[in-house]
Amino acid sequence: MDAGEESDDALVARAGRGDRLAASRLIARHTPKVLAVCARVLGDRAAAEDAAQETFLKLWRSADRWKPGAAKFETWLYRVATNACIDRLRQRKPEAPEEDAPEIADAAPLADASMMERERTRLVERALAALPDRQRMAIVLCHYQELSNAEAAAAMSVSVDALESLLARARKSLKESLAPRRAELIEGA
Amino acid sequence: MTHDDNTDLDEWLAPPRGVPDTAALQRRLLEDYDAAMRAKRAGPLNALADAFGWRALARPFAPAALGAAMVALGAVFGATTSGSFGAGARDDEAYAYLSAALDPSYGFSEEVSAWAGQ
Repeated sequence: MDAGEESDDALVARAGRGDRLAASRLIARHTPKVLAVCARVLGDRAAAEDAAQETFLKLWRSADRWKPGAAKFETWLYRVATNACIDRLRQRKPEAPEEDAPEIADAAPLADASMMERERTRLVERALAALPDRQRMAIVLCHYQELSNAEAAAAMSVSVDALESLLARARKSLKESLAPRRAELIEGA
Repeated sequence: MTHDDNTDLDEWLAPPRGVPDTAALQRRLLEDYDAAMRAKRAGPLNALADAFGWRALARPFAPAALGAAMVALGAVFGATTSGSFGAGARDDEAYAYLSAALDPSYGFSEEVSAWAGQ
Protein backbone atom coordinates (compact mmCIF):
# COMPACT_ATOMS: atom_id res chain seq x y z
CA MET A 1 0.00 0.00 0.00
CA ASP A 2 1.36 3.44 -0.95
CA ALA A 3 1.79 6.10 1.69
CA GLY A 4 -1.00 8.18 0.16
CA GLU A 5 -3.48 5.32 0.07
CA GLU A 6 -6.22 5.08 2.62
CA SER A 7 -5.80 2.29 5.19
CA ASP A 8 -8.01 -0.79 5.16
CA ASP A 9 -9.41 0.17 8.56
CA ALA A 10 -10.51 3.58 7.31
CA LEU A 11 -12.05 2.08 4.17
CA VAL A 12 -13.94 -0.56 6.14
CA ALA A 13 -15.32 2.10 8.49
CA ARG A 14 -16.48 4.20 5.53
CA ALA A 15 -17.92 1.20 3.72
CA GLY A 16 -19.83 0.30 6.88
CA ARG A 17 -21.43 3.74 6.80
CA GLY A 18 -22.61 3.15 3.24
CA ASP A 19 -19.74 4.70 1.28
CA ARG A 20 -19.81 2.81 -2.01
CA LEU A 21 -16.49 4.21 -3.19
CA ALA A 22 -14.74 2.86 -0.09
CA ALA A 23 -16.32 -0.55 -0.69
CA SER A 24 -15.21 -0.45 -4.29
CA ARG A 25 -11.62 0.34 -3.24
CA LEU A 26 -11.61 -2.54 -0.76
CA ILE A 27 -12.90 -4.86 -3.46
CA ALA A 28 -10.27 -3.72 -5.94
CA ARG A 29 -7.50 -4.03 -3.37
CA HIS A 30 -8.35 -7.44 -1.94
CA THR A 31 -10.31 -9.44 -4.50
CA PRO A 32 -7.27 -10.77 -6.41
CA LYS A 33 -5.62 -11.96 -3.19
CA VAL A 34 -8.75 -13.52 -1.72
CA LEU A 35 -9.59 -15.19 -5.01
CA ALA A 36 -6.04 -16.51 -5.34
CA VAL A 37 -6.18 -18.09 -1.87
CA CYS A 38 -9.57 -19.66 -2.55
CA ALA A 39 -8.56 -20.88 -6.02
CA ARG A 40 -5.40 -22.55 -4.74
CA VAL A 41 -7.12 -24.14 -1.77
CA LEU A 42 -10.22 -25.28 -3.67
CA GLY A 43 -8.58 -25.92 -7.04
CA ASP A 44 -11.66 -24.71 -8.87
CA ARG A 45 -12.31 -21.19 -10.15
CA ALA A 46 -16.11 -21.27 -9.79
CA ALA A 47 -15.99 -22.57 -6.22
CA ALA A 48 -13.26 -20.04 -5.45
CA GLU A 49 -15.44 -17.17 -6.70
CA ASP A 50 -18.32 -18.41 -4.53
CA ALA A 51 -16.05 -18.53 -1.50
CA ALA A 52 -14.70 -15.04 -2.27
CA GLN A 53 -18.24 -13.74 -2.64
CA GLU A 54 -19.21 -15.25 0.72
CA THR A 55 -16.12 -13.68 2.29
CA PHE A 56 -17.01 -10.19 1.10
CA LEU A 57 -20.68 -10.63 2.07
CA LYS A 58 -19.54 -11.33 5.63
CA LEU A 59 -17.39 -8.23 5.43
CA TRP A 60 -20.30 -6.01 4.35
CA ARG A 61 -22.52 -7.41 7.10
CA SER A 62 -20.00 -6.67 9.83
CA ALA A 63 -18.30 -3.57 8.38
CA ASP A 64 -20.24 -1.16 10.60
CA ARG A 65 -19.08 -3.06 13.68
CA TRP A 66 -15.42 -3.22 12.63
CA LYS A 67 -13.05 -2.05 15.38
CA PRO A 68 -9.88 -0.55 13.95
CA GLY A 69 -6.77 -1.97 15.57
CA ALA A 70 -8.52 -4.99 17.11
CA ALA A 71 -7.15 -7.23 14.34
CA LYS A 72 -5.32 -6.71 11.09
CA PHE A 73 -8.00 -6.40 8.43
CA GLU A 74 -6.22 -8.57 5.89
CA THR A 75 -5.68 -11.36 8.42
CA TRP A 76 -9.37 -11.24 9.33
CA LEU A 77 -10.32 -11.37 5.66
CA TYR A 78 -8.07 -14.38 5.03
CA ARG A 79 -9.56 -16.11 8.05
CA VAL A 80 -13.08 -15.65 6.71
CA ALA A 81 -11.93 -16.81 3.26
CA THR A 82 -10.17 -19.82 4.77
CA ASN A 83 -13.32 -20.79 6.68
CA ALA A 84 -15.42 -20.42 3.53
CA CYS A 85 -12.99 -22.78 1.77
CA ILE A 86 -13.06 -25.28 4.65
CA ASP A 87 -16.87 -25.36 4.49
CA ARG A 88 -16.73 -26.11 0.77
CA LEU A 89 -14.04 -28.77 1.20
CA ARG A 90 -16.15 -30.48 3.87
CA GLN A 91 -19.16 -30.53 1.56
CA ARG A 92 -17.03 -31.92 -1.22
CA LYS A 93 -15.69 -34.98 0.68
CA PRO A 94 -14.67 -37.63 -0.20
CA GLU A 95 -11.74 -36.00 -1.95
CA ALA A 96 -11.09 -36.61 -5.61
CA PRO A 97 -8.16 -38.96 -6.21
CA GLU A 98 -4.83 -37.33 -7.01
CA GLU A 99 -4.93 -38.08 -10.72
CA ASP A 100 -8.27 -36.28 -10.95
CA ALA A 101 -7.10 -33.25 -9.03
CA PRO A 102 -8.41 -30.24 -10.91
CA GLU A 103 -6.02 -27.77 -12.39
CA ILE A 104 -6.26 -24.20 -11.28
CA ALA A 105 -7.12 -21.74 -13.99
CA ASP A 106 -5.77 -18.77 -12.07
CA ALA A 107 -2.42 -20.37 -11.58
CA ALA A 108 -1.60 -20.13 -15.25
CA PRO A 109 1.02 -17.47 -15.83
CA LEU A 110 0.52 -14.71 -18.39
CA ALA A 111 -0.34 -15.80 -21.91
CA ASP A 112 3.09 -14.96 -23.30
CA ALA A 113 4.94 -17.10 -20.77
CA SER A 114 6.81 -20.07 -22.04
CA MET A 115 5.36 -23.56 -22.30
CA MET A 116 8.05 -24.75 -19.90
CA GLU A 117 6.96 -22.33 -17.24
CA ARG A 118 3.36 -23.34 -17.76
CA GLU A 119 4.31 -26.97 -17.36
CA ARG A 120 6.24 -26.18 -14.19
CA THR A 121 3.24 -24.37 -12.76
CA ARG A 122 1.00 -27.29 -13.66
CA LEU A 123 3.29 -29.77 -11.90
CA VAL A 124 3.49 -27.67 -8.75
CA GLU A 125 -0.27 -27.04 -8.72
CA ARG A 126 -0.90 -30.75 -9.07
CA ALA A 127 1.41 -31.57 -6.18
CA LEU A 128 -0.24 -28.83 -4.14
CA ALA A 129 -3.74 -30.12 -4.89
CA ALA A 130 -2.74 -33.55 -3.58
CA LEU A 131 -1.78 -32.19 -0.15
CA PRO A 132 -4.17 -32.52 2.80
CA ASP A 133 -6.42 -29.43 3.04
CA ARG A 134 -4.81 -27.73 6.01
CA GLN A 135 -1.28 -28.29 4.74
CA ARG A 136 -2.29 -26.83 1.39
CA MET A 137 -3.82 -23.83 3.14
CA ALA A 138 -0.64 -23.23 5.14
CA ILE A 139 1.48 -23.32 1.97
CA VAL A 140 -0.92 -21.05 0.08
CA LEU A 141 -1.01 -18.43 2.83
CA CYS A 142 2.72 -18.44 3.53
CA HIS A 143 4.21 -18.93 0.09
CA TYR A 144 1.67 -17.60 -2.39
CA GLN A 145 0.14 -14.85 -0.27
CA GLU A 146 3.43 -14.19 1.50
CA LEU A 147 1.88 -13.84 4.94
CA SER A 148 4.14 -14.13 7.95
CA ASN A 149 3.80 -17.31 9.99
CA ALA A 150 1.98 -15.38 12.71
CA GLU A 151 -0.47 -13.89 10.21
CA ALA A 152 -1.09 -17.23 8.51
CA ALA A 153 -1.59 -18.90 11.89
CA ALA A 154 -4.13 -16.22 12.83
CA ALA A 155 -5.88 -16.64 9.49
CA MET A 156 -6.14 -20.40 10.05
CA SER A 157 -7.03 -20.05 13.76
CA VAL A 158 -4.10 -22.23 14.83
CA SER A 159 -1.00 -21.58 16.92
CA VAL A 160 2.23 -20.57 15.20
CA ASP A 161 3.74 -23.90 16.28
CA ALA A 162 0.89 -25.80 14.66
CA LEU A 163 1.25 -23.76 11.49
CA GLU A 164 4.98 -24.44 11.36
CA SER A 165 4.32 -28.13 11.77
CA LEU A 166 1.78 -28.03 8.92
CA LEU A 167 4.27 -26.15 6.75
CA ALA A 168 7.08 -28.60 7.49
CA ARG A 169 4.90 -31.59 6.62
CA ALA A 170 3.60 -29.89 3.50
CA ARG A 171 7.08 -29.00 2.28
CA LYS A 172 8.28 -32.54 2.92
CA SER A 173 5.36 -33.99 0.94
CA LEU A 174 5.86 -31.51 -1.88
CA LYS A 175 9.56 -32.25 -2.12
CA GLU A 176 8.86 -35.97 -2.23
CA SER A 177 6.16 -35.67 -4.86
CA LEU A 178 8.14 -33.23 -7.00
CA ALA A 179 11.52 -34.94 -6.66
CA PRO A 180 11.00 -37.26 -9.67
CA ARG A 181 10.23 -34.18 -11.86
CA ARG A 182 13.06 -32.05 -10.50
CA ALA A 183 14.89 -31.86 -13.81
CA GLU A 184 11.77 -30.59 -15.60
CA LEU A 185 11.07 -28.10 -12.85
CA ILE A 186 14.58 -26.68 -12.89
CA GLU A 187 14.48 -26.42 -16.66
CA GLY A 188 11.17 -24.56 -16.49
CA ALA A 189 12.34 -22.14 -13.83
CA MET B 1 16.89 -32.99 1.41
CA THR B 2 19.73 -30.64 0.64
CA HIS B 3 19.89 -26.87 0.81
CA ASP B 4 19.48 -26.82 -2.97
CA ASP B 5 16.25 -28.81 -2.71
CA ASN B 6 14.86 -26.23 -0.31
CA THR B 7 15.91 -23.37 -2.57
CA ASP B 8 14.24 -25.08 -5.52
CA LEU B 9 11.03 -25.61 -3.60
CA ASP B 10 10.91 -21.95 -2.54
CA GLU B 11 11.41 -20.95 -6.15
CA TRP B 12 8.73 -23.33 -7.44
CA LEU B 13 6.30 -22.02 -4.84
CA ALA B 14 6.91 -18.37 -5.69
CA PRO B 15 3.71 -16.37 -6.25
CA PRO B 16 2.59 -16.49 -9.89
CA ARG B 17 3.44 -13.51 -12.06
CA GLY B 18 0.07 -13.41 -13.79
CA VAL B 19 -2.82 -11.50 -12.28
CA PRO B 20 -6.18 -13.27 -12.69
CA ASP B 21 -8.99 -11.34 -14.32
CA THR B 22 -11.39 -10.48 -11.54
CA ALA B 23 -13.41 -7.68 -13.15
CA ALA B 24 -16.65 -9.67 -13.40
CA LEU B 25 -16.29 -10.93 -9.84
CA GLN B 26 -15.58 -7.40 -8.59
CA ARG B 27 -18.81 -6.18 -10.19
CA ARG B 28 -20.75 -8.93 -8.43
CA LEU B 29 -19.09 -8.08 -5.12
CA LEU B 30 -20.10 -4.44 -5.49
CA GLU B 31 -23.68 -5.52 -6.27
CA ASP B 32 -23.61 -7.61 -3.10
CA TYR B 33 -22.43 -4.54 -1.20
CA ASP B 34 -25.33 -2.49 -2.59
CA ALA B 35 -27.80 -5.22 -1.63
CA ALA B 36 -26.33 -5.52 1.88
CA MET B 37 -26.56 -1.76 2.42
CA ARG B 38 -30.14 -1.67 1.11
CA ALA B 39 -31.06 -4.46 3.52
CA LYS B 40 -29.44 -2.60 6.42
CA ARG B 41 -31.28 0.62 5.59
CA ALA B 42 -34.59 -1.26 5.29
CA GLY B 43 -34.45 -2.47 8.89
CA PRO B 44 -33.31 -5.23 11.20
CA LEU B 45 -35.74 -7.83 9.85
CA ASN B 46 -34.23 -7.43 6.43
CA ALA B 47 -30.73 -7.84 7.81
CA LEU B 48 -31.93 -11.03 9.58
CA ALA B 49 -33.56 -12.25 6.38
CA ASP B 50 -30.40 -11.56 4.50
CA ALA B 51 -28.21 -13.29 7.05
CA PHE B 52 -30.31 -16.45 7.19
CA GLY B 53 -31.69 -16.48 3.68
CA TRP B 54 -35.28 -16.02 4.91
CA ARG B 55 -36.41 -13.98 1.97
CA ALA B 56 -40.04 -13.85 3.17
CA LEU B 57 -38.95 -11.67 6.09
CA ALA B 58 -37.62 -9.05 3.70
CA ARG B 59 -41.03 -8.29 2.17
CA PRO B 60 -42.74 -4.97 2.93
CA PHE B 61 -45.45 -6.30 5.28
CA ALA B 62 -43.25 -8.88 6.97
CA PRO B 63 -43.28 -7.25 10.44
CA ALA B 64 -47.12 -7.08 10.43
CA ALA B 65 -47.35 -10.63 9.10
CA LEU B 66 -44.95 -11.85 11.75
CA GLY B 67 -47.03 -10.17 14.47
CA ALA B 68 -50.25 -11.65 13.10
CA ALA B 69 -48.66 -15.08 12.95
CA MET B 70 -47.62 -14.82 16.61
CA VAL B 71 -51.18 -13.78 17.62
CA ALA B 72 -52.65 -16.67 15.61
CA LEU B 73 -50.25 -19.13 17.21
CA GLY B 74 -51.19 -17.79 20.65
CA ALA B 75 -54.90 -18.18 19.85
CA VAL B 76 -54.44 -21.75 18.68
CA PHE B 77 -52.38 -22.61 21.75
CA GLY B 78 -54.97 -21.01 24.02
CA ALA B 79 -57.82 -22.89 22.38
CA THR B 80 -56.08 -26.26 22.71
CA THR B 81 -55.37 -25.78 26.42
CA SER B 82 -58.62 -24.11 27.51
CA GLY B 83 -60.78 -27.23 27.95
CA SER B 84 -62.60 -27.32 24.67
CA PHE B 85 -61.06 -30.71 23.93
CA GLY B 86 -62.01 -32.49 27.19
CA ALA B 87 -59.25 -31.24 29.46
CA GLY B 88 -61.82 -29.03 31.29
CA ALA B 89 -63.89 -31.98 32.46
CA ARG B 90 -60.86 -33.64 33.99
CA ASP B 91 -59.92 -30.37 35.70
CA ASP B 92 -63.42 -30.12 37.22
CA GLU B 93 -63.22 -33.66 38.64
CA ALA B 94 -59.83 -33.01 40.15
CA TYR B 95 -61.03 -29.75 41.65
CA ALA B 96 -64.11 -31.44 43.22
CA TYR B 97 -61.98 -34.24 44.65
CA LEU B 98 -59.51 -31.81 46.17
CA SER B 99 -62.29 -29.64 47.60
CA ALA B 100 -63.84 -32.69 49.22
CA ALA B 101 -60.48 -33.85 50.56
CA LEU B 102 -59.89 -30.46 52.17
CA ASP B 103 -63.36 -30.31 53.64
CA PRO B 104 -63.04 -31.05 57.39
CA SER B 105 -66.45 -32.80 57.40
CA TYR B 106 -65.24 -35.32 54.84
CA GLY B 107 -65.34 -38.61 56.67
CA PHE B 108 -62.65 -41.24 56.95
CA SER B 109 -64.78 -43.96 55.31
CA GLU B 110 -65.52 -41.71 52.34
CA GLU B 111 -61.85 -41.06 51.99
CA VAL B 112 -61.08 -44.79 52.00
CA SER B 113 -63.80 -45.37 49.42
CA ALA B 114 -62.36 -42.65 47.28
CA TRP B 115 -58.91 -44.20 47.44
CA ALA B 116 -60.42 -47.59 46.64
CA GLY B 117 -61.85 -46.06 43.52
CA GLN B 118 -65.54 -46.43 44.46
